[in-house]
Amino acid sequence: MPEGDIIFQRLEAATDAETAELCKILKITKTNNPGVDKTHIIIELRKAAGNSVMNLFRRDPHALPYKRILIDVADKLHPGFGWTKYKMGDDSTEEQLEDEINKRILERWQEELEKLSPEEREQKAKQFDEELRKKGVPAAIRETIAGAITGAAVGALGANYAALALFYSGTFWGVYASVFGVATRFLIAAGAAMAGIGLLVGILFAAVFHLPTPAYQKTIPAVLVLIRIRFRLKAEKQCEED
Amino acid sequence: MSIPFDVPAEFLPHVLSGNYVRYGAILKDVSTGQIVGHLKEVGGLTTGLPGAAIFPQLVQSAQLAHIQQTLNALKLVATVGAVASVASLGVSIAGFAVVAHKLRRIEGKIDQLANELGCIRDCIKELGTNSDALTLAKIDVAAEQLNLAITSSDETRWRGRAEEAILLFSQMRRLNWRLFNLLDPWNRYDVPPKAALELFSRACTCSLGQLEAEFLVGDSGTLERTWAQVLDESRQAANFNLKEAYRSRSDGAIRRGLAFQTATITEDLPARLSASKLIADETVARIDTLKIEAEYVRRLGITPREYVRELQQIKEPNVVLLPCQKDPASCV
Repeated sequence: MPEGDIIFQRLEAATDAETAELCKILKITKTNNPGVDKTHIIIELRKAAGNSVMNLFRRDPHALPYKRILIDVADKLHPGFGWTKYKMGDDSTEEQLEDEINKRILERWQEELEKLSPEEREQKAKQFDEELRKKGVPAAIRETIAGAITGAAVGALGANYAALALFYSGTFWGVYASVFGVATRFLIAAGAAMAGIGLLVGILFAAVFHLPTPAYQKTIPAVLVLIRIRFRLKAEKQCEED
Repeated sequence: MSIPFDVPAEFLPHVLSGNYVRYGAILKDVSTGQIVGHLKEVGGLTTGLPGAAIFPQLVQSAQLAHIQQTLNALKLVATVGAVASVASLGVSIAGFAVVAHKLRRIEGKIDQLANELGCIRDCIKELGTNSDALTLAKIDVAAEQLNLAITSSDETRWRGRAEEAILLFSQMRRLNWRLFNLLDPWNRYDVPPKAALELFSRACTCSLGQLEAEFLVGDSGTLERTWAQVLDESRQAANFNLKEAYRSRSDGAIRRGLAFQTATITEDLPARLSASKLIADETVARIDTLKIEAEYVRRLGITPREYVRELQQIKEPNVVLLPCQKDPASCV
């Protein structure tokens, strides 16, 4: 059924930059045909978000509903053990779930930053500032970001965008792994590199159980981009009304 | 005193009731379409927006109140911000004396300015023209020349000073518009709307300076041509689409890496863009109505220099309304 659902609608409204960003997150080679790219994105997102065992039995690549994807992401980000209150059959809307995810992502970043000592935060801020400087980010913007990291005030960076802000940062890889999860191949590689054969077997065992779960390192950032498209459309509407 | 004027407060009931409408610096009778008069800031005005109410009588007008709130929100205070705010709300050609006053106050504040306008500085560096301080110094010199031209008691020298001011302001006006057009600041994610407005206002400040200097010299043909150019430049610069600006900023931020978005594409961006456009449009409206004042002085039968000097003598109120003549044909 989900053909024509919110994912389709958001991608229909996506700009070229947003499409390119999604292709990068989902590791799709971008073509010069927006229609083809968007179809690839939708298929790849649902594939990444689906249980890989269940995916084998899905004939329709668009079968996985967006709400299911959002519930899985919200559950993944839920603090402590257990899941969120959201269920497929309840009356919660996709927008409510998106807001919940957005809020939770900010909280997670906040928690992770608070775990660091002031000295560690300052060091991270310096490293990140250097990363941004190399990318040519203007000083004024770098200062705002560095101030938010040092003060452990993710909210100061602005709702929604904070989550994505540090996403590709090598400096915050540890935080990233904690929030978004670690890909199975990283687990195996880390096990091989760091441990003896016993631990490697253990990690491989864990990886087998990890395999059928959604690929959150793709799904979460992709969902965040879709949320941001919604925010942009809302902001543009506000601009038109003004 | 040969310049008749009224206190704008007397007209407020008409403005508030909707009988009169303000566009730029003029008040118009809604039913007849005739210009009632033009508003003018005068001599004793030394306090600048947004801290103090520059228009105590007029600020009740909804549009001006909104603009003042906007300026407060954008924190356009000190440095060039104050100049920009005056430029944005400067009432008339001869009101440039106030801008000059503000320009003198920014002397010695270049460092602070550089911090405030870090993004502009970065953009200027990008263009390979690291000359922000030099630009401001030149504007300052131009303003000084203009002020001396007004106050000079030496009849043979004031004209030379005014012409020097025209040349300097003209150079700075062109430089600032060129910079503005090259940067396209409304659409750049790394230039906050406040900074884009500052750039716009700088160019308008130089334009107003040139217009005042030419007004003083008294060559009506040149004044009219410059006015038309300035109006065209400011209109083009203010004519941006809010939605497109937002999208362009969002896309620009994405293309440069996700980290960029944190400090640039914020929830209040639509409101900040909208507020900046409101002020830019108001500035254009002010420039659009400047010609009325030149006509007014011509009809008054005094020289522009006499007019400017007389206005500087008025201490209270700080904004007056110079009524239009009764002959409707002369007012339209």
